[in-house]
Amino acid sequence: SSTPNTDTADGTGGAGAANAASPVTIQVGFENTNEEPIGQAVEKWAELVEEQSGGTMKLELFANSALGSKSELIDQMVMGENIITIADGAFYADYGLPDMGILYGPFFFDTWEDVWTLLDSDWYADECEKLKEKGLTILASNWIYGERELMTKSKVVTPADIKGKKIRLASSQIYVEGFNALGATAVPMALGDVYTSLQNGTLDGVENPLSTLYGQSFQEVAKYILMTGHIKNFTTWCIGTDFLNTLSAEQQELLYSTAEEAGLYNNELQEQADEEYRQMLVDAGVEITELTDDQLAEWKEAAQPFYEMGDTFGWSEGLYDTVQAAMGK
Amino acid sequence: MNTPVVMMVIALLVLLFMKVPVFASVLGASIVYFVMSPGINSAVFAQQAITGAESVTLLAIPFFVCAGVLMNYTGVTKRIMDFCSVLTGRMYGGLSQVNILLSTLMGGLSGSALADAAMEAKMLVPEMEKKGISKSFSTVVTAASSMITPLIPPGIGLILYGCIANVSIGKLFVAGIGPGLLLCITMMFMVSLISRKRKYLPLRTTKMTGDMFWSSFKPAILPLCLPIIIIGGVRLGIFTATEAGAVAIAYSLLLGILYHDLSAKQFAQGLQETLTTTSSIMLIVAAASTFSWILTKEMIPQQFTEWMINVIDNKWVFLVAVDVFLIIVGMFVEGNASMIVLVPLFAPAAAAYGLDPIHFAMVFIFANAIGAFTPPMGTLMFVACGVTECKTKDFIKEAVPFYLLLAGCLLALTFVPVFSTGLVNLIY
Amino acid sequence: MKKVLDALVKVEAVLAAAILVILIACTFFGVLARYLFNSPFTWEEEVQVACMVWITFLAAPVAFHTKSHVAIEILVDAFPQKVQRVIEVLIMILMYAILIYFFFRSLEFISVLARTGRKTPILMAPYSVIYGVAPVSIILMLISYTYETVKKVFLTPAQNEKEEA
Ligand code: NA
Ligand code: NA
Repeated sequence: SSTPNTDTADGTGGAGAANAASPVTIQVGFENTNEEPIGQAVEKWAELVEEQSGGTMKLELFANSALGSKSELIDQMVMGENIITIADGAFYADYGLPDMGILYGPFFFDTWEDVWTLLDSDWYADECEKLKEKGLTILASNWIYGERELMTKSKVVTPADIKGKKIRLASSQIYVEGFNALGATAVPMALGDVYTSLQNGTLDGVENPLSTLYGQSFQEVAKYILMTGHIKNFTTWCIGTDFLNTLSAEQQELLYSTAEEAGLYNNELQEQADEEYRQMLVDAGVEITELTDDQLAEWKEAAQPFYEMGDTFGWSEGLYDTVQAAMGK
Repeated sequence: MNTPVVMMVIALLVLLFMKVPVFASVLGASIVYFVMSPGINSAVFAQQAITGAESVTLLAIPFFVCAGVLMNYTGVTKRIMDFCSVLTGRMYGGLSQVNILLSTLMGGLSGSALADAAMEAKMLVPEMEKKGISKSFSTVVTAASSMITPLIPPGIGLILYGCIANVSIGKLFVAGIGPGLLLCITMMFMVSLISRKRKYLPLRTTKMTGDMFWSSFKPAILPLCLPIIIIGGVRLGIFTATEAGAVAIAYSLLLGILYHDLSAKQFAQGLQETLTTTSSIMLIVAAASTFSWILTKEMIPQQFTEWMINVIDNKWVFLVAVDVFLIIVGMFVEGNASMIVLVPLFAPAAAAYGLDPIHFAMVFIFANAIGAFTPPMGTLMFVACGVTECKTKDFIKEAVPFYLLLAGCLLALTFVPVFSTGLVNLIY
Repeated sequence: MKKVLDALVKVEAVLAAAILVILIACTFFGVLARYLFNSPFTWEEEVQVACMVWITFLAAPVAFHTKSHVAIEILVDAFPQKVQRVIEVLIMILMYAILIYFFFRSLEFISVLARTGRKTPILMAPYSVIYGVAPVSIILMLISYTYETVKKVFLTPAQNEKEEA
């Protein structure tokens, strides 16, 4: 359509492709702050888009969920709004792609190399295709969100140590069942309530990337971190398929390539930040324990029951083996 | 601001003053924007207006409204009133002092100024008149002192603000105590002065004996424990500020059973009152989330902050400007509605000035609340006058010293942050 | 007609009250389950949020009967009675327009949810059902609003008194 939208700061919907006079604006919503690596890398992405499009495309950034919660944004994207948001497989699992959830099971990946191999596989491409049919297109998946570690009030080394311990998890079936399978008592709770709950013993522990653990000041109330890296948390940026189709082929290509490039920048920042946070946690008196290969094997072993719960999650037949094979294992 | 946004704001004002219910006015204004912006999918309108009701934090509203209503039915209020009479018995103003102290202590049980004003106008004002205190003065004291109730935790204003501006509600609860007590003490002092002049005599001339104290204090102990349970429970992390509301309901039911005062019929009546109050607030909240989605999408808060910082470069001037602006808005717009629309604009600006979020929250909440006591749109004034059949004209004349007192307290809160933040820093 | 409408309001009120009781109970026992028995309800938040949506919308028509919806009356009430009646009719037209627009937009929104099949993460309850209360409630709001306004604007005070009695 050619709506004569004179005052478009929004350039939405039909105003899309050929309109050179007013730039195509896309709004990017995410939960992180501007200071976190993700926040800085999105800014980089916006710069890249502006530069490489010669000013004909523009990303408007909304940190701290200012544009709305993730599910709200995704519904809006399906309705054709000009929005991009950050989301990961645990979310897509709840969104009707149950198989994606397995990537966020405990101890699924051994190394980040495994992650990158999987992202290049046909299996992953198929999943993205299914998501596209549901109205969402993934622009880039190579963004490291962090490696999730286990922080506890008393020292934990082996799976036996967390038996019955109350560990806080985000309210998602995959996360919750993952820790229940390891023998802990999973407590879904809003992140904002965790500090006091750790302090008074309602919780025994919490898991998250080091940056979040430090950002929430949990080091004041829990003194042990086990470097489990139980989830290699990569995340993705997605856009509404309908809106994407209103853009020209070059514009679409530009979004894909810049998202990927900014992702590499993000991963560099994440790596630096991880080092810094680790040091700050140590300085705050936290004891950080690395796992030996044998101990890691023990945790992997303990996580196995989770991968036999396919019926609970609605996974495809033999999903675990399929995905392992896609990683070349 | 582009044309659709300007038209939306105009539509909002027109609808509001045409007596269209507030929630429908806000929805109507948003409709204007959506109709004028054909590029935006209009289903987003419904998405925001429906999911706007979806907030775990705001569960506290039905909970604390319900707890407050149940307290009135269980005879808890009566026990606390007897205790207040003993405490303030020797002060000039007699039942006026009881009225103020009762609002303060009931503040720990109820989150709503309106409920408090309605209850005390019904229960206390006739008694005050019998003691020779004029109807208009009694009504004014009732309405003014009920402003203390939502400041003492729990309070709906504190909950709403915390939820919108993303400030810890547990901390806001603690922060409200300082301003609440400040208002209570200064108001008692002022009422004492006025009463001395008018010969509104104390309830008794004898000194308070230990016996007297104990016999009135004992029945009030359990009800007075609730605020301690709430603050303590939240502070220790046993339950969240939201869950505290459910605990408060359970506690008031327990007291009802203990005192044999709550019938099934009263319980049903209490639920009914809770539902209509909750729905009328939550519909405004939900409608406003469509409105504020539009503001966010158009990046109005950022533009507003930028503009504000350009115009005013001093944080104290900014605070005073906010005070004046909110009092004027409060004269015309119902408090919860103005809070929902304005907090997203002002909170980021306050942060940009480097103001402490708790300090700013208390200034905002207090300034926003004053409007309920002033004409033309003073909900507290209407409720109190409605129950006591006091004429608005007489009310306003009698209220002048109270307006000055409120303005003084607001200035104190504005320029002395420690009233708001002191206790929070001590406890947290 | 009046009987049918009163019964309708009663049903809504009872249903909303039942949901309020569920909400209170689930939150209170949720605290006990987590704090005393170490086994939190994983589904608690989903139920709470759904209850809140249902209470807001189910009690909204009832709030028309109890006159709980706030409005700014100062300006309109300053006009003479006859003018006020004209304005009341104007308000009625606006209310219809607003609620009917909301009704159709909410159907659109629900149909998007039905298409994507989004469900709550733990109980797997479809969002189309949770939010589906809105369009139903809007219809009920239209009915309640009409009922109350007709009573107020078109009946004489004497008739009104008879109605109340
Ligand atoms: Na209170
Ligand atoms: Na009072």
